[in-house]
Amino acid sequence: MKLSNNKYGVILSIPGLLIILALVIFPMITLFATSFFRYTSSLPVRFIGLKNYQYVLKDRLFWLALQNTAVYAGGVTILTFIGGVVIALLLSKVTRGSGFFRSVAMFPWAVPLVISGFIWKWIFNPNVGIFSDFLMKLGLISKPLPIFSDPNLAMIGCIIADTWVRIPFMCIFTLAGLESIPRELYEAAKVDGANCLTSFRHITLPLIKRMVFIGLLITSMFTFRTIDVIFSMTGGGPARATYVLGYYIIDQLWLRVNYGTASVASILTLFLILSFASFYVYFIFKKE
Amino acid sequence: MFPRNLKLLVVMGICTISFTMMVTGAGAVGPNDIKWNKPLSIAERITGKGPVEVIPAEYDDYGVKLSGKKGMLKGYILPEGWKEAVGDVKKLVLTNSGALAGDPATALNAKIFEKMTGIHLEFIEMSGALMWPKQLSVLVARSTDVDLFYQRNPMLEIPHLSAANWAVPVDELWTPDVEKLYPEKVLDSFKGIDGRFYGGAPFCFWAMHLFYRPSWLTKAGVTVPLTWQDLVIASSKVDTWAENNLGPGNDGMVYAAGDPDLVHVLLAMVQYSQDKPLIKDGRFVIDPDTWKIVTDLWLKGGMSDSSLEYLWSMAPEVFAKGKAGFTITGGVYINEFKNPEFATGIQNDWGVTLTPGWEGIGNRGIGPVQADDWTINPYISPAKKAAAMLWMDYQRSYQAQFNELYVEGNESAMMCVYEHPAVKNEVAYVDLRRETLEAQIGESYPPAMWEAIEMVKEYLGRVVLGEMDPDKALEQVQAEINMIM
Repeated sequence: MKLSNNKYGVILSIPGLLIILALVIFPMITLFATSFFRYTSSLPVRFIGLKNYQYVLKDRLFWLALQNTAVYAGGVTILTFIGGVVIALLLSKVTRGSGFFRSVAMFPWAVPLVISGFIWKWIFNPNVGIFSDFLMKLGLISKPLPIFSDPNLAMIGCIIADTWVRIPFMCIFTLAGLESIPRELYEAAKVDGANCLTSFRHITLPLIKRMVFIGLLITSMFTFRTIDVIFSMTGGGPARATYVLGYYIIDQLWLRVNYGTASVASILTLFLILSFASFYVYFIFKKE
Repeated sequence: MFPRNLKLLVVMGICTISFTMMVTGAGAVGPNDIKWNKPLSIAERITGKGPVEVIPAEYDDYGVKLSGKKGMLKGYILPEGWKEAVGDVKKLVLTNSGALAGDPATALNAKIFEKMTGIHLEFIEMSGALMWPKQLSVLVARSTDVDLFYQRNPMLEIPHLSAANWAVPVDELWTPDVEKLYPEKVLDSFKGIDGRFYGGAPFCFWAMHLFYRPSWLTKAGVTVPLTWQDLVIASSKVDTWAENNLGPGNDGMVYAAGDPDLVHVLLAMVQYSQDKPLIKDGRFVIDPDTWKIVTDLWLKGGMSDSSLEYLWSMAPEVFAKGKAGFTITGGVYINEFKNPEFATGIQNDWGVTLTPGWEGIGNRGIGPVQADDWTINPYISPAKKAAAMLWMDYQRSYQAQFNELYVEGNESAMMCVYEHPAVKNEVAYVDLRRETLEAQIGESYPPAMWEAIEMVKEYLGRVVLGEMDPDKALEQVQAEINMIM
């Protein structure tokens, strides 16, 4: 019996689809179902309709976490974009030993985010960390930066620790875009009298835009739901200044042992990420 | 001979009974088959002492080398019927907070247990922060992959576990005679909301002590503070002296207030010193005097603001690098501070004493129980439950507790261990350790306590950061706590 291409494709996809069904669809259905139940450690499980949703939407901590998440995700995405693109541009100019420099630039990517948090926590430590000490020796500050006792600095510290790990990812995307630009375009522009800045604006930027946008989308989506760095660096503090949505979900799960409200918070986070991603994809790519 | 219907009835009856026994575990061997009070009473069995001897190489396991050092390799007496009860169980899987390389006494005790019973203990070494969530995942899934769960905060964890029937009660292990072997007030911390015991092996106490830099105190013109009120003033003076003479980055005091549990410990130490419990009529109540002292440590005293984010190990490490005049941390750091490789900045210039008491009352060294323990997975087989209880029985014994204190420097939960000549002669600050341990208090917390502590941490931070007036913060945090309890 000869199978059509379509049927052959469907058959080949079945194992993958089953895995997605088991690891994505089924948990999501369970998540939605759980959100309608009172599911705690101390009381029998019971259907309670939308009460978990009411609780979460009225909880001041949820809104505080959402606000902090927006700042955190925005900060990391912007810094990652700047850092990633700048380093990629520099690396694209390196000809001798480019493999070595590219490998070095990728190192931070190998560091788990939670470890990055620990590393930067020590670096920023006001008592024994090298960061404040270095700035003091340079005469730029007179006393250690209160990175753990200033809400704004705490947030900035977490953003830096997170960005440090994510820059290589953005760098790879940008580099891939840069490598795909034909050299002839630059040469032609040079003949036409274009300088570096003009070439960058009219050739480089438009041609790497698509790759950079994809990198930005992935970075922002990942950052929106991540807690690794914050978990190891500030624990959401001081005074919940770095308390993000991921942390809120964890608190519902671990501290309250309330699977119902944790499910609701997860669903709302998922909804926010999907909404953002949909708008982003629609406005950025549809226009093209 | 018999009517067909009767035959059918008998067969169906046998099938039903067999199925029920299989599902419920009835008829299988298990903890109930262990004669805990034979050949001697539990108290006599678990207080059996052996000689302190050089550990041979055959006890090196789990990546921990203890051969050549000394420990207690005999003493504990196994209860009768244990062999039948554990059946063919040859391995128990249990979680452990951190790597066993940092818990040499646990490694030694596990090896001793294996040699006695033939049951190998397979430890899942994991980060302390992940233990509770992983445990919840295993229990919600009703998995039998882990037999015993390590509890880092029994007072906070056991209320949840007992409420959800996620732990096996072990009341058999706690007869009145056995209870007398441990500090009187600590045992409530191993009880669930139903008043039953769920923790059976309080094996690693880490009572808090006040550590200080004698040279700094002298230069700042203060003496070792005996009360919390004194500590506020002394730490402030030391802070001013350190800042003026040693420069920025040197503080009066550091504390791991980034760990919510240690915020709870600080609060409890201050509140208990006034003879006031944390739980009143089933609800967590913060006394205004307690709140005042705790916030004053930052606002008027010399506590560094960075302490808001220091975790368990970070504050003592800052102290060890010679950057603070005072710190309050666990007794396990007595050994660490003696180590010149770790405590690079304080060699020959640190002291330790009881945590402060309350002016006019006393109660120095008082604090909440900080003990590690294991609980048993309720979904494992009766034979495994028996083996798990046997491990608990051994781990809280004189022999095992001796090793905890003597080999590793953890506190011994069993008070009489402190009377052992080897402990008296060779373990540092024995009297201080014993006195502190005797003053520990365990309360039975409601399940919402953990959430409440997070709230306290948040509002303490707000006060320290100047976002909120202390009185207003107390009013608000108490109102929020009242809503969840």
